[in-house]
Amino acid sequence: MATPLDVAERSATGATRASGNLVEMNWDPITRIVGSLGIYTKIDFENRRVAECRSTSAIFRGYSIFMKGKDPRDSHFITSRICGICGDNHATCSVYAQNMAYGIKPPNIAEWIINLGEAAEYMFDHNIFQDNLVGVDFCEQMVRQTNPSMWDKAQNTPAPHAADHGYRTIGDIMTALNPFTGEFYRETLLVSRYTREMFSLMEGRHVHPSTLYPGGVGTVPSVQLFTEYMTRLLRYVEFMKKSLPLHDDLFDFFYEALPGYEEVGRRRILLGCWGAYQDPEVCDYQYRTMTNWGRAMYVTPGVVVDGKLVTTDLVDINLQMRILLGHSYYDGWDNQEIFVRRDPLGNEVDRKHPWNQTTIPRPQKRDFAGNYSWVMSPRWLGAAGFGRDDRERRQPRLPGIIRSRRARQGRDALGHRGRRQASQIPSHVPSRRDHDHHQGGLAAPCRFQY
Amino acid sequence: MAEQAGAVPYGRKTQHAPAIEEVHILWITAGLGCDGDTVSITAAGEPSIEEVLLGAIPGLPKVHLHNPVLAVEVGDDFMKFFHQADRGEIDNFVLVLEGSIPNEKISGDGYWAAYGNDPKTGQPIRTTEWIDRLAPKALAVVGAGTCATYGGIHAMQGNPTGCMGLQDYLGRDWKSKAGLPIVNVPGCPVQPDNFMETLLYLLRQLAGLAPMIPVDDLGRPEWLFGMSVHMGCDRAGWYEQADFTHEYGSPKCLVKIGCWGPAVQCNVPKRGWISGIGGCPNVGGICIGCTMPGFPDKFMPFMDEPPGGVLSSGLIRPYGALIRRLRRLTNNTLNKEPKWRHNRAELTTGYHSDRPIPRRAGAGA
Repeated sequence: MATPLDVAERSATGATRASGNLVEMNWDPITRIVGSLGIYTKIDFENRRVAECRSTSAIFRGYSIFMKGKDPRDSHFITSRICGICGDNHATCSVYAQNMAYGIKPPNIAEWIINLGEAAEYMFDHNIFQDNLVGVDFCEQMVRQTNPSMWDKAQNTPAPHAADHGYRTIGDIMTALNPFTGEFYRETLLVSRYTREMFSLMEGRHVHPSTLYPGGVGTVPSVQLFTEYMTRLLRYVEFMKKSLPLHDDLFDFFYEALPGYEEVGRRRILLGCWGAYQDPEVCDYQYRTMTNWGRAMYVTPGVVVDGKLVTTDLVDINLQMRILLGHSYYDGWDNQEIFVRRDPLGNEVDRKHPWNQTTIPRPQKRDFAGNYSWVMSPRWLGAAGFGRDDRERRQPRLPGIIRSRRARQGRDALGHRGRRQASQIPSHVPSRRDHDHHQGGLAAPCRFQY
Repeated sequence: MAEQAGAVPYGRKTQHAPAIEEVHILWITAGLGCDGDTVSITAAGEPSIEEVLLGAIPGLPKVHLHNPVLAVEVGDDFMKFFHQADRGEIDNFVLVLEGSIPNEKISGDGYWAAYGNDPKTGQPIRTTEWIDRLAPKALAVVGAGTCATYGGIHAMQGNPTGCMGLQDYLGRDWKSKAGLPIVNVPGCPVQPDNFMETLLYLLRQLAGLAPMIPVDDLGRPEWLFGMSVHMGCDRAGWYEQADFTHEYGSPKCLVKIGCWGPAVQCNVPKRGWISGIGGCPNVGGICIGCTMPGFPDKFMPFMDEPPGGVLSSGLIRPYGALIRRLRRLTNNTLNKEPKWRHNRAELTTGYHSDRPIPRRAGAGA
């Protein structure tokens, strides 16, 4: 591939040393992922280091524009269409938001049906991700091509849990993961189908559900419905007794056979979770009680920064979200209307908070020294110890990840997008198709969901 | 050709060797969309994707699928197939488009949607350019899902990208080099089996085993989209008896709470969503018309009763009320056993050893 980077221009920014020992390696599109993602790197093989990395997304859609002025009850039907894997999660979030906005609480049985639907969605997600998308990276076809000596070794390495999953050697597991021809690949595909049947029992159809509404579900809660769900769930439990030890064997082999493999993916630990599965006995969909019912969710919300849990409070998690433009093809909205100045508890809501976002797309040429993606940069403000007190001081703050990195590099204030040095900061959110898709808010790359 | 060694894919014995030995499916997901149609077809079982790719169905050419969500290859290794097809190095391919087509006449130097890079300039290649390059060389062009077929969600009123579907972009009368019209399989997302079955039909047609695919003037396979949701809906009986629900979670007809089923062409209530399970109105979800060219605007607000529904449901009310009462009477009768089933010390079934059984033994019971 010809270089998409104008090295001369980038050198002028001071961001790149004009150096012959950086090797450019690009992958666009990244496949086996939902969304459009390209990764552009310069690798310093001498020092075994990725010197530069940029992620780009090549598609704009515009949900936050065309949803304006529409009946709010339509929103979950529309937001579902943001994602072709996790559409249900978007629909569910939208239904929760509508319940809060309208001040309604669904009957408990509706909450349980949504929870069971979500659970089935996670089971489907997990399997199709593990064996049909990512699993291909570990299959015979891939390993033979990229690392022949490992393939030789795998064929002669017995699988410790062979009695559980039935594959004698690690090589046999790899062969079973070959796309379409592999036995386990196909078995998982079948599992991804009956877990989608479980989902469709509760929510009608997959990936965009048909039976979710603000205030409840259209699903008829019959005995048959739950029987059909349960029988499939038990089949799934049996499958997991094979699947888990199989993956253990496979990944343990990689750690052992490829010294340093455990470093793959190691980075600053930034994790965020909104929580999942409401407890209908606690959740009343009031903003002022959100801290409480958030913590009562069966999967509790929380944010982890540098390995430390910094908050479990949904109010905190919400208020500290920011949408930054990064290197994306949008105009800023500093001169646009502010929609929300204070939340229902009286806390200040920042201009860069998603509630105040105005989307102004500006298609342009891709320029790796300037703007190069349709994806904005959602961030969560709170570095460790960054709580509500700080918020009340109303200091303009930069996202933790950018601030600390800049501090390390001894740079001064980062301006808005297009600032030259910003191009060096590898703080992009990979795998997000466009700025509409930022309900996650954190900089955690998610190969699968987007 | 049938006699040649190797002419039959996979080395299987089959009555008919396909007219073409191999076919590539070049599947572009880089329209404005969610990739939900690709994810959807992995759920299909009639036929399944693996059955088509592994030669389980007799008579098909060998199929090579190039879809970014399912591919082994990454980056340039993956894009090479599209560049080869563009250079005319792949003889037989079907182009599948997923996602709506943006209007790039309004995007200046930039792009709304792109797919891979131009090796010369390093700039992204617009999705529309791929369609321009590949459609004339394709044996068939297929739209997967409502975005690609008619524009769908991204073509909603007020959208900034000027999105459209394949017929808007290529023209309604467009024909492939093999003489096929644009084949549209709408649905948001596409119903898994509807797409795979259409693809199977096309492969059989390209193999010389099936006549021209029957599609209507909007490109829809007639056998899939010839009937309304209502005709296949298991709640249609409630409608007939004018028994409408006004709340969720009821098994009754959903027309009053926003279902457009009576006027929408789709087979989902009949076919179910996956393996016959799920659907829309049949399982409690209002039909929001997601297979239709007018989707979504003409169905919004989704949760209000369709304007026409007020009239039709009003007209059927007196009929439904009468029919309901008459059926209740009949049903009461049918819920009673005949009188001759008892434990008394006598036989009252009408049996006598010396004469024939009365012709309608139960008539007087």
